[in-house]
Amino acid sequence: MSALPSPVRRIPGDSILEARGITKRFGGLAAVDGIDLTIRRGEILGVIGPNGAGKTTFVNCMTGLDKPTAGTIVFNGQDITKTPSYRIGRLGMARTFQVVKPLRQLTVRENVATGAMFGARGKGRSAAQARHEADEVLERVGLAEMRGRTATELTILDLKRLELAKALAMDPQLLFLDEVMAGLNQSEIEKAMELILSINRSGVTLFVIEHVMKAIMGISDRLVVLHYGRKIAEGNPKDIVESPAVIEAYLGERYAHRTQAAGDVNAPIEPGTSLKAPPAPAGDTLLEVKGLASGYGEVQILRDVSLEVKDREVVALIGANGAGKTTLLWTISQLLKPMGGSVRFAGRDITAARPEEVVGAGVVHVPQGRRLFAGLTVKENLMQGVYLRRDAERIEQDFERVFSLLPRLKERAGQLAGRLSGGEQQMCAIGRGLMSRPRLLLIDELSLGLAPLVVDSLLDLITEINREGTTVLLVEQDVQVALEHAHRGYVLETGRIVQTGSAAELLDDPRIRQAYLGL
Amino acid sequence: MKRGTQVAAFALLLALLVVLPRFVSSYKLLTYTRFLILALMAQGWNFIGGYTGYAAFGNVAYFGIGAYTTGLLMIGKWHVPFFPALAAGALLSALVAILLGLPILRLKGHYFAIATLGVAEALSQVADTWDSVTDGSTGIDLPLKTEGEFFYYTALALVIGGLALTWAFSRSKLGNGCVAIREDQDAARMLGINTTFFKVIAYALSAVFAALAGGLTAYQNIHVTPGDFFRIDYTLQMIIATIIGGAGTVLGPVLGAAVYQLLSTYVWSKFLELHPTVLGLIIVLFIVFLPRGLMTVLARKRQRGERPFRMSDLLANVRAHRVT
Amino acid sequence: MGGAELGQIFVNALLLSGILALVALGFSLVWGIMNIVNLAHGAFIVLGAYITFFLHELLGVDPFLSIPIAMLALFTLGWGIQLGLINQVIRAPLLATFLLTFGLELLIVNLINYFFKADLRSVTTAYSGTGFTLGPVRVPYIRLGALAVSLVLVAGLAWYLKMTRVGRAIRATGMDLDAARLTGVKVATIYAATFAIGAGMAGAAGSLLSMIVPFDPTLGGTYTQRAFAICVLGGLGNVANVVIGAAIFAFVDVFVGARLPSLSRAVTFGILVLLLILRPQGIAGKTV
Repeated sequence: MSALPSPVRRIPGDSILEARGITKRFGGLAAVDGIDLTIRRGEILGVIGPNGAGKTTFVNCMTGLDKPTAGTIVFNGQDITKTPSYRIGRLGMARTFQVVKPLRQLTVRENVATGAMFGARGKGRSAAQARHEADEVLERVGLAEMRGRTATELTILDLKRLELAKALAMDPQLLFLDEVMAGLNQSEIEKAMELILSINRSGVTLFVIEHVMKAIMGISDRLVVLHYGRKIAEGNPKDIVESPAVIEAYLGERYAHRTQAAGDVNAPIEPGTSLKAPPAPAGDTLLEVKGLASGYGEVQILRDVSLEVKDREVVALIGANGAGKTTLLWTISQLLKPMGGSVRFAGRDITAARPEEVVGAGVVHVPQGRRLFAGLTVKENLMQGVYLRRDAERIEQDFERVFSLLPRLKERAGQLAGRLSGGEQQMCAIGRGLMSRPRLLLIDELSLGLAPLVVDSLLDLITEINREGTTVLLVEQDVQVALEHAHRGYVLETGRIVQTGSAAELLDDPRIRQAYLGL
Repeated sequence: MKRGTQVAAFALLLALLVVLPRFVSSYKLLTYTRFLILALMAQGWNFIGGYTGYAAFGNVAYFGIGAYTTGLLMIGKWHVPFFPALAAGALLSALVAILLGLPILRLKGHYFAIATLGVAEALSQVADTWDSVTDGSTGIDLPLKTEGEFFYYTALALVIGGLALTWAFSRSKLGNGCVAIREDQDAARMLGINTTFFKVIAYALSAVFAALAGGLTAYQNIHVTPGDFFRIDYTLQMIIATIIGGAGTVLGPVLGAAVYQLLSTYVWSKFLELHPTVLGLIIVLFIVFLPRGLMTVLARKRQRGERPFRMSDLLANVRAHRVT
Repeated sequence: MGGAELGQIFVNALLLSGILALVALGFSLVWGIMNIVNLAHGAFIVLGAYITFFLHELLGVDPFLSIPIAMLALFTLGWGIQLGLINQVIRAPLLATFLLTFGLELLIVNLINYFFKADLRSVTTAYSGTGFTLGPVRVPYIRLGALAVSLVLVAGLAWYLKMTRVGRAIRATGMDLDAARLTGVKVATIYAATFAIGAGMAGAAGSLLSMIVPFDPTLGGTYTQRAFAICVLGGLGNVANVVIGAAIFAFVDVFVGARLPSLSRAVTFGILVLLLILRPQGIAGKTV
């Protein structure tokens, strides 16, 4: 087990931020509804809650990006409810954005220097001094070697570090972090935790929003749970995680057990967390990838990837972010052209095929982030899935099948897809994929941004779909849940396959358990 | 090219430009002056369109304001001499830009472009209708001055000043702030940048340059009418010049103005009747093959230490921007 | 102003709004789906007008019957221009497509000027000038017919986008390009179809205009500006929004034109700018 640094529990001091009765309405909907929160100086406050709970909106209100409909905010004794966002930055608050916002055409150094120029200590600095300050921050965050690269050349991992560096360069007293760990693997999460703790030790108060439970448990002094815009729990992390209300709303029973087990190498795999998929069927090879190389422009991501997916299997592809999992899927579906190697599907070479040919052959990609047609209704989204097909009668059958698998979609058939919740949108995306009558379904990061409870039910759905005959290649950052629902797995690291085996073998493999499961 | 060689080349170019009038006919000199005035306008547009990323489509409005202010002050009862009148025009333009900019700069992208366009159109009509002051479509006449060299050297001095100002801008906090606004305005605000303030300053700067160009052109042409001075052509010229040369760079606007003037003069002499057609075609070709302008291509080349300009680069550009 | 004058303005505006809706719809489709502000839209309108004019002059074709021909011609031209030219720069910075279409407009309009000269032309038929009167108000048949044709085309386009496979693909592609490809959409083809439809609509508008006003090669320019303003007013979300925007714009345009002809453009733009400042999402609310 890798040693987790025990956080230096600072004795929290006076309150640095007091928010009273914060409410934010968008039209009729209250995204944030009467939240009272005090942030104590020097603490790390963890914030969890399902998607749509209002966590990011709350941060937007604190930092002036959105004006609260009601309520007051006092920072260091000063009322900042009406202060414009740029001035709040100068007063000593900074934040990262969940969807990173780099200054794209500038170099890493210039990005961070901008923060140093206009942040809390910016007034006294010249442009040149700011650049010098930027170099120091880059050292701290581990981006020093990338300082001359343009933001467009960075991997998502480094972009997240850049986002943090920009905020740090502003010399904040209070720093809001919004899901900085999404997509990181185990060792990266540990490094991120160390960094956050060291930032805290240097005197910065932290407000951290996270879905990665292990991380938030490991660093928070206190924990706050938001649900439907309200604060439903606040207090000691261990107590919170065991509270029935929180489990019901957000964690799900199985996840709570996993969280409790985390940290103990000898913990038995709890009942309900063991392998669930039926034994592997012996089918022919459906998808065969050999020596595949691919990337974006000048950045090569995949170097030499070889794997195969047999008919009627569920294969999980796991690995750290930046390893190339998503790149692999985009390359198979031909939205990204391969730089080398080959891809064969059902005996046909599709290495140089066009995207529409790949779909026509029966390979359907459900992309990361759902990517629904927000302005079309649920039904229209499903109908777009049928774009290439002409067999009207079977299309009708497929509609019925999809609606019976996903009854929630039937309820919402006439609603605009953009209005659905995160879980419902994922269902709709899967449904749209199913409508194309795939032989092979490529699913990318199903769990991103979704509460553990929802993720479990969606993966059960995938198992059901597989049982009805569809082969699945599942790319997932939640390794445990992915391997529990798969027959076999592949591990991708820096553009190469480094390990493969049956899902059971991988779940038992100590290296995997350490690197990806924290067990 | 190393730094030293660059500076030497620049100094040589400057020297050539200074002694130029002695070696060319007065007709040719007019063309060079036109190039410099276009460079001036392009430099101004570069602040708001290039560095800040707000494609203003109505800066000809300030060209016109500069022209009329300079003219009216010179022929009015105080008989203001040229340079103070010119400065007054620039100042008035800046004020108008600040007043208009405050509301308009809240808009983004195409919206902002069309709002500025509307401003130019509206001002043109106002100039036409406000007979009592501007003499409507008949226009006003400035005092006569025929020495081409005066206009040439004034324009040259202003362009050099513009270069210095742009260079200082690009290295200052103001410049850095504007670039941040261009890249991601929300991120810029979160970083502590007062976006409204910075945008308005960039816009006012662009207005000043346009007004200086307008006042100078007014004096040179003598006759000022709304139809001549509020033409959208001027806006398009300054935008195209900046884009061709490279928006958001120091030398880009001047380089682009030179290229544009060269093309325009050549096309004019060869294709008089089809002049706009050919110019349109040239614009189209430039955009297809070099959408980011010359400067960025040259800069990228220098970074990689390659020889400038191969056909394959142009084709690569096309492939990168196509959709299949 | 008197009731008769007001009434006439009302009727004029109503009849004008049909054509404006047609012009704006093609423009907004290309803008909304492909994020291209097509400054050459006006050139397409002019081409439509000239096609109708020459079909009438040389072959005696009734102008209303020439509309499908003009539409087809412009549809084909639009398809070619999209695939051959605009497609090459579609991922370049925004201003690039702006300037590209500007260059195209310059090119086309000037070619027309070169070949056909700047003379004012008009399509006059046996029934030009006839109409009926509704009290003190005059309703010309041609304008009424133009309104009818416009409404048919607008409704047809709305139906096409909502109900057909290609129409849905067009809308989907405008919302998420990559996701559309993952459903098998060939984006180059869809874009070509979109641009071609926009051009076709412009051609139809030009045909109708040739019967109503005297025109020369510069006809299109003002209509592009109006289309822009209408899209800003109505938002780009859907057909209904654009139609509402066109109606409102027509009324303002005609009203201001009647009362303040010399400052008409200034006032219209002033109102537009004011509107943008107060409500940047346009009247109907969908952001561009």
